[in-house]
Amino acid sequence: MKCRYSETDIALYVEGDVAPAKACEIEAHLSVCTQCGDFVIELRESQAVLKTLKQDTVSATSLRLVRSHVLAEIQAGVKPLWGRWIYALAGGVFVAVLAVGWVLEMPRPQVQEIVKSHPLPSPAAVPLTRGTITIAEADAKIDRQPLRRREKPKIPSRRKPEAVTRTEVPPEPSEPAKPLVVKLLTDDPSIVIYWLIDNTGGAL
Amino acid sequence: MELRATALWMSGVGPEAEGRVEFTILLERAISGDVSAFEQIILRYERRVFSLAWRLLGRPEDAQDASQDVFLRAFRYLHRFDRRRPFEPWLMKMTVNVCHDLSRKRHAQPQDVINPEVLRAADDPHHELHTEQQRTILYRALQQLPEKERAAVVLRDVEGLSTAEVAEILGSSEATVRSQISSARLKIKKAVKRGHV
Repeated sequence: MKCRYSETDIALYVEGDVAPAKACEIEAHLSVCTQCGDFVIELRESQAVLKTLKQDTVSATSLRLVRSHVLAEIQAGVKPLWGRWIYALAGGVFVAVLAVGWVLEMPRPQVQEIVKSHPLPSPAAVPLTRGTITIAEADAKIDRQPLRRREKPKIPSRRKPEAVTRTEVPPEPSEPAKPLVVKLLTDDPSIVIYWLIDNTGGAL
Repeated sequence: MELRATALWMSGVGPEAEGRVEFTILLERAISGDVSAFEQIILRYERRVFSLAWRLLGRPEDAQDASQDVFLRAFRYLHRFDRRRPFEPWLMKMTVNVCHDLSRKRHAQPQDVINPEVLRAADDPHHELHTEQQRTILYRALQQLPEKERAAVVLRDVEGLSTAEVAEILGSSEATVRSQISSARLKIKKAVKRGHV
């Protein structure tokens, strides 16, 4: 015969952990099912054995030992009130010193002066060299020149715009300039490359 | 003191409520750092904490360490305790947590679960062999249970807390606790039957 109630239900029933309605149903079932009835008896016995643990008492010596250890540790850890204030004050002073040091070490932002100046002159137009130049000649020129360190480009100062006079600026060419012709010689003498460049540096 | 007594008399509260008020005052003093007040609290709960720790851990030496840890933690976190709620479940929860930490740290298996030096039957001074065997079997059965099941069945069946209280202490639902205690009861029944108790 298969019972409607599981062992889990009965394990809860024996200690009153099921709803009253369900408890009534199980009770009714137990009156007719001997198998479940025997199971309940066994469970009640083991529960009675489990509850004997309540009778066990801890010896007073063990408890006294625990108490003395706890109180000793607490008393070692508890500082008087003024002691706590001293630590708090020292901590505050330390933080303040750190903050002051940090503020002093911090780089100050440079405030740039705004100087009213004349508008910058237009860049000087460098007349391009006309003619032809071969790669071999160019290489020879480069070889003759000693190696020099690259210098940083000088930025014209805004404060002294009067240093550059307008007379130095060459007048813009009014007539269209002739294109620059660059002749490139290759290893094959039958192949010569001509490169036509206008004034602005763009290839034609 | 007189003012408090008058107030209690006028409100018509019983000795239980008066005890609660006294305990609240004790608690306030302990929170403010009064060690003697905390000693009174220890005296009130030490037996409960020790026995619960011992049932959960299975060894009296471990229970002693756990009890010390529980009271030290309680003193440290006393200011966090919600005074509108009962103190004992808070302490029980702390005990369960400390025992959980300790058992994880040590991974200790129960060895001498019965130590006559520490434990003796309160009502029976003669220590019958049968009773000792029963307890040995029971403690072994308890130690073989999963940790949550052990805590649930000890709190419910040995400590006598309600399912709701157990659920609160273990941080589980009541349904989960019911499932854990039914499973634990069945396993203990099997162990007791095997041991021919």
